[in-house]
Amino acid sequence: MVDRVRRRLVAAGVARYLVGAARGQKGDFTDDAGRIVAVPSRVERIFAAGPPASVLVFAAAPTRLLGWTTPFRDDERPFVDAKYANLPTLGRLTGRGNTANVEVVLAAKPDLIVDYGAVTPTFASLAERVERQTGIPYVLLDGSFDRMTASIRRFGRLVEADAETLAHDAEQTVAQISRRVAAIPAESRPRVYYGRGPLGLQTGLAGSINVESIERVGAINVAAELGRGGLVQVSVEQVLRWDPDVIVTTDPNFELSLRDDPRWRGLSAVRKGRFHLAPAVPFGWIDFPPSLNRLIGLRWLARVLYPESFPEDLRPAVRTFYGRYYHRVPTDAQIDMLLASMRTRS
Amino acid sequence: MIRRPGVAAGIALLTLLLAVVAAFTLGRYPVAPADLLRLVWSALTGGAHGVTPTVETVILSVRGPRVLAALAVGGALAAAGGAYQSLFRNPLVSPDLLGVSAGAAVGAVLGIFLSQPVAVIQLGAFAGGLLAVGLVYAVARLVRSHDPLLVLVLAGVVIGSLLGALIALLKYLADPYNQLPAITFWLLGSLASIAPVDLASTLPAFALGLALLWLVRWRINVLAQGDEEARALGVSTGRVRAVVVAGATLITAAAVSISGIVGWIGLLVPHFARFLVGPDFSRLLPVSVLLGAAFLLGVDTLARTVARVEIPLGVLTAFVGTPLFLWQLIVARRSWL
Amino acid sequence: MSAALVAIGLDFGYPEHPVGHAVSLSLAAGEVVCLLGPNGGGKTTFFKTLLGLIPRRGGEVRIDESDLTTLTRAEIARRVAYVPQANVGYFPFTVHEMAVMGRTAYISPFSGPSVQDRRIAMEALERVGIARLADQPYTRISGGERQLALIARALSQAAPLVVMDEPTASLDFGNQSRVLAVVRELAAHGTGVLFATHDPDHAFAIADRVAIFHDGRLIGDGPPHRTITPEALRTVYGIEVDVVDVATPQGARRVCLPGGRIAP
Repeated sequence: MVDRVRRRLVAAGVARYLVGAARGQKGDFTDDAGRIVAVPSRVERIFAAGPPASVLVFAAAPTRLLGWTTPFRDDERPFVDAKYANLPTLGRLTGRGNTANVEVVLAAKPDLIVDYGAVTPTFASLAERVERQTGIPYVLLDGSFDRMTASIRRFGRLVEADAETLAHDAEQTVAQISRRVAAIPAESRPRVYYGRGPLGLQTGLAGSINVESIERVGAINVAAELGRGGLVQVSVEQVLRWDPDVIVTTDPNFELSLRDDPRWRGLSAVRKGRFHLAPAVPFGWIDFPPSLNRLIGLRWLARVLYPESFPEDLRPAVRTFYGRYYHRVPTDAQIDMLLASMRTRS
Repeated sequence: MIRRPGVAAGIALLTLLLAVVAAFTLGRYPVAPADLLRLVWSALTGGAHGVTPTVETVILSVRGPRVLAALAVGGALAAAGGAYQSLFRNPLVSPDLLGVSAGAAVGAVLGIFLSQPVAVIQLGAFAGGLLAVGLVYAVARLVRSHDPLLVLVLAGVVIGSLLGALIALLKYLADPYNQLPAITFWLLGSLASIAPVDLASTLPAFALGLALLWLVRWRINVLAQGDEEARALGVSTGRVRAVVVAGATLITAAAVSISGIVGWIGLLVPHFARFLVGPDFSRLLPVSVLLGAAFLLGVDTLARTVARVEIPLGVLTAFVGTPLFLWQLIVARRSWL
Repeated sequence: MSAALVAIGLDFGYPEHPVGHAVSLSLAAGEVVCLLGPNGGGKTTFFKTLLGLIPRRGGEVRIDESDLTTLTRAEIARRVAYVPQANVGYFPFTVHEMAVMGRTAYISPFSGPSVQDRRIAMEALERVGIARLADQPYTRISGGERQLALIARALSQAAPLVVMDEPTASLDFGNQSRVLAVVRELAAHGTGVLFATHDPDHAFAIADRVAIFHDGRLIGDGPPHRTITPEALRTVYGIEVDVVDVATPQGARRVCLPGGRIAP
């Protein structure tokens, strides 16, 4: 019976190919959700279905990106060339909260829709629906950290863009960090608390996408003792009890309160000045959006958490990364601003 | 119905004390009861306490304010609920009836949406609550009717719906990675981040609101007979109503600004209090405050100790409150005890 | 000077529909005036307008020479007490607490009742004979007892005038007599009582004056013997009535007997 099914699939594939060739299509692409998508031979206009996909397309094929899901904030614009920053806002087609009108998608006349992130059946079925409704090929790529290099390469092949430099860079970054971290004994791994939100009381449990970068650099997520899961809320007392070695946050209000609020004074991280506001322009460095932007965040985390094992100045790495992925080399002043929170406070 | 107010008040007070003791000894950060006693002793006698600075911080700056905030918010919501139930002659009414919580939510969500610091978010919540009720009152005045209560309730429902839609819109537009989780957690209610400054800033509003309700305690009893009868008995019902609404709104807006939306207390606690001491507001108010304080303190202690992470207060009060309410309905006699 | 409540050419009703037109009626201290009319005729609406609880459509109401609209609710309450028809009640206040509410007009807005207020309320309960019910919840006593409680409330209000809306409706035979006796006793002590009823026999029993209310107007206002006639009753109720004098040990009493087809 399996044999019969397989034969039928092959027949369908051949038929599709013949039809596709007749239509000037390159052929079939099996996306990471296992869907077979007929992709045109020339992909000039790409619609990114969500923020992670936007970053991927922007990095690998910026001239073909049709638009962004949300407009850039004022503090993000200095890091992106105006011709890219001013691309239209098209809304998001998937992920938390759809804001894209399908008509907007159609009006943009894309050759391809790309989604980069979780490849669960939910998102696969969403892709199926949109593709059937609009007739536009919709491809899902796996956005997990493990598959980042492979996904970059696959995307490059899919749209015929030169993504090899990026893929190689990603590969090297992850490999280099993993190598050095492996040499650090378990006792020297710092205990890190990742605090989100203005009060800093939201954190990620073990395995959540929020703390993926932190766990990847071998640090210990203090919230892991509470189990696996996603984003949760904890109390001031809980953080005091954990007494992490390092605190990483994305919210300037929380960083301020770490400095000023007397309740945090007892924390060793506060006393030693080891609390850092992660840079977030033009895209976050730690968790959101969960895309290629996290690569520079890995380097930053490694340096912040293991200063002795990662003694190199980060500035060249930031300069190269931004030039390569965001197509605009930042000025020295901009790099200073980005790396300002790395210095430990006294 | 228990008709010995002294006994009832005594029971309420005792429950409260037990809740306070339990709350102080339980928590994520290990605090030995001996340390607690030493701190209390040194506060009383003025000597040194020999407790580590972090434990001192936990007890005085973290757990202490949280306990006090739970007492204040619980008591405030219960008082406001009891006042509204008498005022609107309806035991199914909660302090949110005229839209104060919806207004406070809009204020806070807007603050989060605009990435404002915590103090601004709280101020926005407080102002939003007051403005919403002001708006409801203004709308109600535009409608001439011989049933002022009904008009007020309708205006409250309408404005409350509108504000709810506004909140939904803000949630929709918010950054789903950074702002939306913060908004969601705020709306579910929590005392996890209470700092001493939160208590200091809301104390005047609590005190003033409760004072207003206490002052008109007798007139509230008369208003509970109905608007026409109350007027015939010599009450300027419009004015008394305004005072009650002002008092209840002040305390509810202040409570919501520091705790987020916590439901069920304003609805449930006055029921129990009425069951214990009857509907006379001069007895109902203090007993509601005591019971509400004890209830929320108990619930908050559960919220921070029972699971691995913080359980939102709004969720827990519903889970604890619903069976209690149903039990009370089944067991107790009718006629709005 | 004696207290007086006077309606002058009062038009009353609701914005959508008028109920009464050009009704003039007066009530003085020490007299019992009965407002006689059928159910649903508008007597309650008239009373509520008289007390300023519903806005009037036209005409005037004066209490002790002052226009009603110039007085505060508390001032009005000190001069006129209102006894509505007793309903079940919402909250289980005790009968004594209900009576104490009658003192509200004398309690300043930010205080509670004094010991004296509570004593006066207790005495009022005794006067209507329900002192034994003082600590019972108002919601759990009988309809007749509730009506008596509301009368006690009006008594503790210590106003020289009392307006009662069908105080005997849905009361049993015994309680009806009891209420009528209380009304008569009030007048004997100098209180003016205006009470609405649909039963002409009540007017004969205790009223000094009767005002007959029909189709939104008064069609008679005078002593019962002169005003309640078979013609008047036919107009108001649409039935034949015999008005007869009956000899009793206490003297002659006039009663109404529905005649015509009901007679065996």
